[in-house]
Amino acid sequence: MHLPRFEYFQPSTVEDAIHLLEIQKSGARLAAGGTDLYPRMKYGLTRPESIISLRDIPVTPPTLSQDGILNLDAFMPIKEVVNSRVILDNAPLLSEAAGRVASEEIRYMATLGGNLCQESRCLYYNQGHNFQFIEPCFKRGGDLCYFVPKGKKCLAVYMSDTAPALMCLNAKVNILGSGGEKQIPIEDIYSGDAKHPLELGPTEILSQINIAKLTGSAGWAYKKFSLRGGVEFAGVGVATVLQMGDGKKVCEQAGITVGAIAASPLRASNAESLLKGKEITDSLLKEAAKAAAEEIKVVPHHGYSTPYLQEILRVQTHRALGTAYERVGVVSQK
Amino acid sequence: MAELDFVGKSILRKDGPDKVTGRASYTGDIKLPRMLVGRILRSPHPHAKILNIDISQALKLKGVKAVITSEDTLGIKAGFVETPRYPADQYPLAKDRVRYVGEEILAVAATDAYVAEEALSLIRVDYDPLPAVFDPDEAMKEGAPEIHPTHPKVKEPLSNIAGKTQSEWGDVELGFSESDYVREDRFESHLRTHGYLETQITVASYEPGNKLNLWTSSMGPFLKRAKLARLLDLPVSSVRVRKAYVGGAFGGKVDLYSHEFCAALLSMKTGRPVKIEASREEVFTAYRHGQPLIMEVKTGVKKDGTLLAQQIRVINNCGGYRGSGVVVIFLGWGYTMVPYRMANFKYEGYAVYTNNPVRGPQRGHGAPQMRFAVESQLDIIAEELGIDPIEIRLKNARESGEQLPNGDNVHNCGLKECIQSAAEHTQLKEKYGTGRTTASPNGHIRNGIGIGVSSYMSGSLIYPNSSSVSVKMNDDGTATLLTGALDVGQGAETILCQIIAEELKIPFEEIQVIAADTETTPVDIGSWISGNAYVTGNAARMAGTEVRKKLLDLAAEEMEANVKDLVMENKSVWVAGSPDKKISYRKLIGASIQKRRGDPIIGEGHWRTMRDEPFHPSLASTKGRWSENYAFDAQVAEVEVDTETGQVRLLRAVTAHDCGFPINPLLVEGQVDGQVSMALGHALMEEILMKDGHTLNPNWLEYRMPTIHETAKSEHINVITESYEVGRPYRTKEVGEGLVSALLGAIANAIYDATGVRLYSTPFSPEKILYGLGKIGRNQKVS
Ligand SMILES: Cc1cc2nc3c(=O)[nH]c(=O)nc-3n(C[C@H](O)[C@H](O)[C@H](O)COP(=O)(O)OP(=O)(O)OC[C@H]3O[C@@H](n4cnc5c(N)ncnc54)[C@H](O)[C@@H]3O)c2cc1C
Ligand code: SF4
Repeated sequence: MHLPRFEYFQPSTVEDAIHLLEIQKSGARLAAGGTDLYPRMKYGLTRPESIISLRDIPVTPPTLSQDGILNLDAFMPIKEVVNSRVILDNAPLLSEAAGRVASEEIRYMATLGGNLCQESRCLYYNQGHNFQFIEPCFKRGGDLCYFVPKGKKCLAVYMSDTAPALMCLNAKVNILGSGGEKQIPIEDIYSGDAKHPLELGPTEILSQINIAKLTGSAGWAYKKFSLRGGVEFAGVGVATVLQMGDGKKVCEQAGITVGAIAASPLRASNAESLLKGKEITDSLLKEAAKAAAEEIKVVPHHGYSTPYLQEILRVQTHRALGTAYERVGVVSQK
Repeated sequence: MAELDFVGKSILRKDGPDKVTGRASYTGDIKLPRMLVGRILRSPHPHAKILNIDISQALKLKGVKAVITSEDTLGIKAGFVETPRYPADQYPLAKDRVRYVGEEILAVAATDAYVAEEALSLIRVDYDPLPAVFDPDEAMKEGAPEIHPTHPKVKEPLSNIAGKTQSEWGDVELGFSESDYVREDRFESHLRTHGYLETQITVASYEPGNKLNLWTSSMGPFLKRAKLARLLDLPVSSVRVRKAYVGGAFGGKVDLYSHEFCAALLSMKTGRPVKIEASREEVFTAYRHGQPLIMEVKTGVKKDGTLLAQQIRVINNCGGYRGSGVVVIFLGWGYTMVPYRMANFKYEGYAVYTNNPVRGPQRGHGAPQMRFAVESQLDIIAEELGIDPIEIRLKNARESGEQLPNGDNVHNCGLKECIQSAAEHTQLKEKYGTGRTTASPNGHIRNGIGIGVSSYMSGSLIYPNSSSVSVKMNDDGTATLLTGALDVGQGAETILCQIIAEELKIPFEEIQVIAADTETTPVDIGSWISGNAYVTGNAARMAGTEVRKKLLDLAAEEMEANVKDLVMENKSVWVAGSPDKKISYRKLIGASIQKRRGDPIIGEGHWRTMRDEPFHPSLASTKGRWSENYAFDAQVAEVEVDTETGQVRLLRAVTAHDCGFPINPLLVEGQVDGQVSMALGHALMEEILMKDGHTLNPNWLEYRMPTIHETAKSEHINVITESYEVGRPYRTKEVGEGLVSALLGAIANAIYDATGVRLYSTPFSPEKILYGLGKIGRNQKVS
């Protein structure tokens, strides 16, 4: 397996990058860390004529604005997201989730923006198609699905670890394009269609991530379920935030988001409302976990069955809520 | 007994420095002038007729130097087994019909990989798909799609039977009728693979004058040479297969593979060297994995736990050709007959063709699966009878000197000591049964402990059957060892040097090795029959003894002394009591050249296990002897089960094993640890997922091998039953396969101990455990 041939550009400003995207049209792909893109190119899943690398574009260190908004450069390496003091202090949920992305080696290469913009995955899709599954499925532009042969649409799963955390934190992202910059809630970058999970246009760049800082009376947790430690995508990833009132007993706001079970992270709204305005007890957390597992419909994937994932979703949500509650008042992760 | 200086010592591996500094040269590092790159076109169908192959467009592509299809071959078949009963059954390139996804259709050689791959995309093959069958139960049914006709000797009305093994002694029916308790269970094992890091790779270079040179990642060059010569109709002496460092094999590189044949034929066609390297995906999808077995076990016991009768039926899903499928059903018999006494026994094993890729040996070659079944059932029986798992095993375990039903003898057998010491070391009796009843501090975690037992043969008779070793003295008093053994990372070269160092009292570092070259080194059994330490080791010892004798005779002559009175140490000889008047080997060699008409000092040694036995035992009837050395072990697993997620962690594995004696304790320890981690992966996470003959997870991400995070604490206890003495034959036992074999059952038993969930199939996945605990509905596997 090797990379196909392509033209390579390494601009040093975002403006140049966008300019290059415009010239190249849909034949070009951005490469940040390349850890999602290059393996797909080796499998022949995407065949860009040119690669526009973002590696020479300087990365702005994270800053906290006056009004408590954390601004993160999308080109920041995941490793720095894990270690950054400002992030640990203000959005520890993100550091925790980022620390569970892939492996140590990959975290040095991979970027936060790339992590959000990664493709959805499926066993039938993420492999070469030289002699297996040759006929293209929906996701490869064809008209069939190997996974659910009678299916009418693609069921590949979007498996980013940072996305559920960011959604749980109500993050907003900046999108830069030829028409200028816009800021949208992170939910809005998802199409809901596993075939093309992201709404970004061919000449758009995700440039910044903005998060309102967590206050001292909040607790958080990201629980990733995988069979192995080290390097493995999630079977289910659950992010939670419990925003408590002053007495730290009553939950003012709850966030529960789930990754790796659909074409985008999903929010367990019923479970969130169950918690809102209530005093936290373990039985309430159990009830919320149950509600989350009932309202979110998981897609079975990567060898896990539906009943199993549904149950794991419940268990992980309960555990994540439990940890979040324990952490209330402990602001920084380290 | 004289003190040993080298044998029995934890000497660092000879290949260590090369490997850790990156100096080691693997087949992939070989670059020859004008070398071409070869690639293979594979079948996309699990079962189809090949109607037409059109290579014309590929041939027109610039840089393509040759394309070979079955028409370019001599039409000779090869097979893992090639006997009158089981003749060779697979063409190196498919002819007319394909029987599994990934089957080799043709190969191209081109100036680089890009061109070679483009050439493949320009080739058109027309197929007529045939009905396919993947499940062995289905494939056996009358009327199932026929992959090959049922073996002519099998008279039952079953389809797709590749081969059958039957064996029987005593009277099982009588045994069952005399039993107080009879138990019948069905166990299943899954498909998993070796996970060698170096993918399959070969460089072939054909030279004018009919010489074919081959470097290939393998487990021994002589079998490859014999098979290649036959397929190409070349004299055996025209084929030279040579060593490069090997990046792991674990049973997966024994047989001759199509890519080796293709590289050779492409080189012959083009007159240029050709390299073919399989991608990781090809290894996962089209190469040979281990064997998924279905094992039906019926056992009868007396109230006191004495085993009276056992009836076993094994069904092997063997893939589109026989591969080693007809061997594993024979071995399944062997792995059950050894550890425990059984007066009445009946065994039937079926290898069943399916439209899956062919299977090959994988470390343990069926033993982990068979032991899983037998050891699980033994615990079920013990519980029914109210006997503890240690007592029931001790009651039935074989002891030294016992004759096996096939005529083998276990000789010195430390099995009981293994069971006892493993149990004592882990306090198994005290802990057993407490995990399920004691609430853990962390509510949902349960602990469990379990034991398994296994026995493994150490060397048997398959081609090339014997090993020879030569040792030649150099003018400076050092020695050079020539062996056909291929060090696949297990330390073959290291232990052979230790033996020569011991026999000749030459420092270990000063022994040079020339290994695994069919042209320059003597024949060797290969690194796959668990006989290297015993068979090749004894050959080395004999060669050393011969040199030793020559040196001593010379020294006696030079010093006018009696051989009996001479002492050897550090490359010199003296008369006992007068170490100051020593004579160096260097001088002795000088003397030999001067006084014995230039006679160099060279020794040779030859060894064959069961020297009076003509062949390997019959694969069909098990008649004939199997081995003359049996290793034994007992393994205890301690696990932790998360009863909410169903996840199991192997916390600790204790291996008590009778390996005879360790030639190098450090290497033995490495073997123990490696096998523990392999068994862990087998038990808990590694699985090749397949759908209709296609592989769903052909990569390291989704084929979940354990990482450092899962690694269990591994401890071991050596039970020593044999010894080494300079100048005498020795009997040691294997350590490379038996210790992967008992742990699977031990883990299953420990999971039961922790949760009360009895698992009848591998892997012990979290889904099965939650299902067993009643927490989720039926396990409807979706990939
Ligand atoms: C072995 C392995 C294990 C992995 N495990 C995990 C895991 O556990 N969890 C997980 O979340 N991911 C995992 N990944 C996926 C991947 O490594 C990460 O998602 C990583 O963060 C991707 O970042 P990157 O910078 O390397 O992305 P790239 O590969 O550079 O880009 C990914 C995609 O996003 C686009 N893109 C990149 N940056 C931008 C941007 N700023 N604006 C718009 N588009 C952009 C690219 O064009 C490309 O299509 C794994 C990958 C591998 C190879
Ligand atoms: S789920 Fe999507 S990617 Fe997977 S086989 Fe179906 S269409 Fe293809």
